[in-house]
Amino acid sequence: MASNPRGVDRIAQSIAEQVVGRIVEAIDVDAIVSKIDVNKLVNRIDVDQIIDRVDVDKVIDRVDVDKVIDRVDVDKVVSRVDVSDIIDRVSVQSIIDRVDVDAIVERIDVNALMEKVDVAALVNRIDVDALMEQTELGSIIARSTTGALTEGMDLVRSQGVGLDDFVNRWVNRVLRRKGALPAGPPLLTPVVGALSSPAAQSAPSEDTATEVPATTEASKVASTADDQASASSSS
Amino acid sequence: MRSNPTTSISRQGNYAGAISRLVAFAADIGAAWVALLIISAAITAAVSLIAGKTIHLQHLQFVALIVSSLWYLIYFGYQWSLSGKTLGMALFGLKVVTADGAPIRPRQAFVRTITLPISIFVFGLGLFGIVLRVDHRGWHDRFAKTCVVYDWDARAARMRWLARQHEVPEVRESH
Repeated sequence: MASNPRGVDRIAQSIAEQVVGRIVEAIDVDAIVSKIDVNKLVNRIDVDQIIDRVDVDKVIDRVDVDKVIDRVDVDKVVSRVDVSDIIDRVSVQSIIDRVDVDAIVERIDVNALMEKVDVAALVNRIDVDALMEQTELGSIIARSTTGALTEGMDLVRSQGVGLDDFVNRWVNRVLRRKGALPAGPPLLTPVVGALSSPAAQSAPSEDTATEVPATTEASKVASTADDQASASSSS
Repeated sequence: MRSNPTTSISRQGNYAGAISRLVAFAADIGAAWVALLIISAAITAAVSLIAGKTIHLQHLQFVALIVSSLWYLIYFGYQWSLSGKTLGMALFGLKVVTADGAPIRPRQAFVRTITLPISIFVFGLGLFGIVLRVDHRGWHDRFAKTCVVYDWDARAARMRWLARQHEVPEVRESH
């Protein structure tokens, strides 16, 4: 009768399992570990060699950076940053020294910048009266431009404008014109009805005087010229 | 409603009223007449010097009428085509521009000059528009597609006045 090799193997396998199991149970792992000098073991490991073997790019590729960032509480991080301390450490002067101001200025489109500036609004904000009073501008202009002829022309023209306004007011009243009327041709006066509106040209009063500065501007020149004339005659 | 500050700075570009235009026209008629007198005197003197004859224009009334009419047309037409303003208009700060406000072309100046007598001599009917219309345009303006605007700078006038005001105390102090 031939022996069954599979049956022998099975017996040997079960014996080995029982023996190994008992040996493992008998081993005191803690005692073995306590006897191992871990530092010596670590010293024997060549960390550089391990790192060389690691494909860092692959590791980074596997990291979900968005997830990491989501977990970071940026506010907390920022709140812990001492900004003033950082600013104190920064040498602003050295930064300024490094800046090529000329290059920056060259890159600025001054024309485009100027187009954005509302020069008319800027000029309107200037208090001409105050400017004349506080600077030498008044006397300079007076010396360069004031003459009897100019003075006379201003007076005559402003009187003419005053009379025109008077006639216009009455014509508008008689013809019962209402609403905003064009002050001038569209290319010269883009805003319609600023001056020629019948409301603005109604009977003169304190209100209309403030509402129609242009009208008053001309008449102001006239009236002030009259004042000057009367002042000079009285003196 | 407050007026726009850009228009309140100056009356430049606004339609000129009837009074300013009338006074400027009167000044122009006077200036043209004086110039015509000077020219005719010069011509008379030249003729008498060269030909030895004295011309009396009062005996040539028809010729004088034609010459003076032509002279007035030249006076107005040339100045309007040149700068859009005559001597009188420059004095009173007025200027002729297109109905849109652009500088007038010589052709428009010519049409305006030719049609001005029509506005005047048809019982003055052509001038009514200057008083009654919002844009103060007479017949000649409408024929030539022009209008008259203020061209003087009230802002500059105001500055000059302020300058004078500022200068007066200085002068008094110096005395």
